[in-house]
Amino acid sequence: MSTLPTLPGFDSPVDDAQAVFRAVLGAFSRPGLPVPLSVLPPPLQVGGFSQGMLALALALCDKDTPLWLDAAADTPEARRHLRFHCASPLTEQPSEASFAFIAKPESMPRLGAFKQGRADFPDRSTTLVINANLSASQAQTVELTGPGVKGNDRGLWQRASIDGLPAWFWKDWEANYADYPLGVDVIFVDTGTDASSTPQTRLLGLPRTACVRETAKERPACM
Amino acid sequence: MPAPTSKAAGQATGQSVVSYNFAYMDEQTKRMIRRSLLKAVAIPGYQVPFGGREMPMPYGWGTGGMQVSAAVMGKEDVFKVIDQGSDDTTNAVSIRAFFARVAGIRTTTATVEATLIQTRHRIPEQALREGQIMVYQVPIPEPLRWMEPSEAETRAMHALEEYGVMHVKLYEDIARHGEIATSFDYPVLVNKRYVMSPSPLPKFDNPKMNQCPALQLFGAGREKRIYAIPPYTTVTSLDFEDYPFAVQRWDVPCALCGATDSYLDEIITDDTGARMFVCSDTDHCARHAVARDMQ
Repeated sequence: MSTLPTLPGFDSPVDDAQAVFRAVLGAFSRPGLPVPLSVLPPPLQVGGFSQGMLALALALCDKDTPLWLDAAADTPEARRHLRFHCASPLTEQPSEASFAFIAKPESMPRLGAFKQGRADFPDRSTTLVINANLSASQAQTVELTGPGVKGNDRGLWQRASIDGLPAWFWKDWEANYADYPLGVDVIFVDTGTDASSTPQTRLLGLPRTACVRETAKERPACM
Repeated sequence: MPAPTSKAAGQATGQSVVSYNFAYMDEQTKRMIRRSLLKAVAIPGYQVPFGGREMPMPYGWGTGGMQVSAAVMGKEDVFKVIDQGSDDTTNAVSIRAFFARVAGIRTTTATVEATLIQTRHRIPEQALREGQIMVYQVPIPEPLRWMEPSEAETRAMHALEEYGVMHVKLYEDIARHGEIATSFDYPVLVNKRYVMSPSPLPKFDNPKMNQCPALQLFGAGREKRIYAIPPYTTVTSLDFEDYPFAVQRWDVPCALCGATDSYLDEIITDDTGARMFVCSDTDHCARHAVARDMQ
C-alpha cells in the first residue's frame, strides 16, 4: 500500500490561526504598512500557492467560503490541502468567491470580475489574496491615504511598495475606490525575500477605503 | 475541521478548564466572526451581520463584546474590562474572570498595560495608543432604529445614505429643549459615509473616537451585528452649524482625585439629597489620586 499523503497544517491550529488573523486585521487596519507573518504552515511542494496564502487559507477559510484560485495557484496539491484543512468549495466564477487566491497577478481577472457586494450588503464581496513583491528596493511605489493612514485628516500619504501587478491594476483600483462602499478588498502576500535577503513573509492590506495615487503629482478624487 | 483543545488554556490560572477550546468559542465560530471583523474594518461604520452565538450569560450583559473579544484574543494579550468606566463592577469582574479562566490570559485594570479592552459604555480617559484594540458592547447597533423599526428599511437607508431623519431627531431636541439634549449614544458619521451608533457612550467620549490610534470594534450580541472603526479614521458627531456639538462639562472637580478633565458620575450619598461627583473611570481616578498625593 502506498503511503498516505501527509498534509501538514499549522503546528498549533488554534494559536497560529489567531496569530495569522491578527496579522491580517493589523494589515487591514493600517493600509500600506507591511505586517510580518510570524507563523506559517509548511510550504507546498509545487505551484504558486505560497506559504503566506496557505496561512491565510488555514486561518480564515472553511465550508462557508467559496474559493477561486488562479491557474498558477490551482494545483492538485493546493486543492488537496484546501479540501482537507478548510473543506471550502472551489468555484470557477470569480464573482462567486469569498476569497480569491492569485499566485500570478500578471494574468489575473480585472477587479470588476470579482464579487462586489450589494448596496445593502457591501460586506458580501471577494477578498483577494495576491502574491506580490513588497521589497522596497525594486518595487513599484504608490502612495495611499484614507482610514488607517496616520495623518489622513491632514492630507498625509503612506508610501507602499507593491511590485508584480498588471499595468491596469491601479486604474481598476480607482474604479473600485469610486464604487465605495461596494468593492473588493485586497491583501498582498510577500513571496519571500526582502531587501536584507532574510526570508520573511509579510502582508500588506488594501481595504476598499484606500485611496491610491501612483505619483505624488496626481490629485485623486479623495483629496 | 475538528478544533483541538489548546493545552495552555487554564494553565496560567492553574484550573482545569481544558474541556473548553481556547477563549471558549469553537474555531469555526471564531473564523466566521474574524471574517466579519475584517469586512467591518474595510467598511468603517457599516454593520456586518454575523452568526451570533449564545454565550454563558444573558443578552444585555455584553455577549456581543465577548464574542468579538474571544475571536480576537491570543495568549499574549493583556485584557482589561470596564463597565461604565469601572474595573470593579459585577459585569467587568465576571467577564475578566471568565477570560482569565477559559483563555488563561493576563488581565489588568491599567489602561496603559492593556492590549485588548472590552468596554461597556465608556472610553478610558487615558489616551489610547497604536496597537491597542477596543471592544465595545453594543445593545442596539442601529442608530436609525428609534425612527424606523424595520430592518429592511434602515438597511436601505444606509445603502442610500438617507440620513435626514437623524438630523430631524436632533432638530426636534432643539425645538423641544433649546439644545441637542441627546447626551449618550450620540450618533456619529464614520469616514464621511455611514451614520453609526457609538453604543451608549456619554457624548463626552465621542471626540475620543475621531482619529483614534487604536482599533475600535463593536459587537452586538442580541442583534448579531459587528462594526468597526479602523485606527486614524475620521469620526464626526452630527450637529448643526448654529448648534455645534459640545460635550458635558462639570462645575466641580472629582471629589476623590480632584481631576477636572474626566467624565464624572453623580453619586447620592444620603437620603437628604447630598451628592458627590466622582470620576467614572476608576483606573484614571486612582492614578490621578496617587499622582496628586505625591506632589
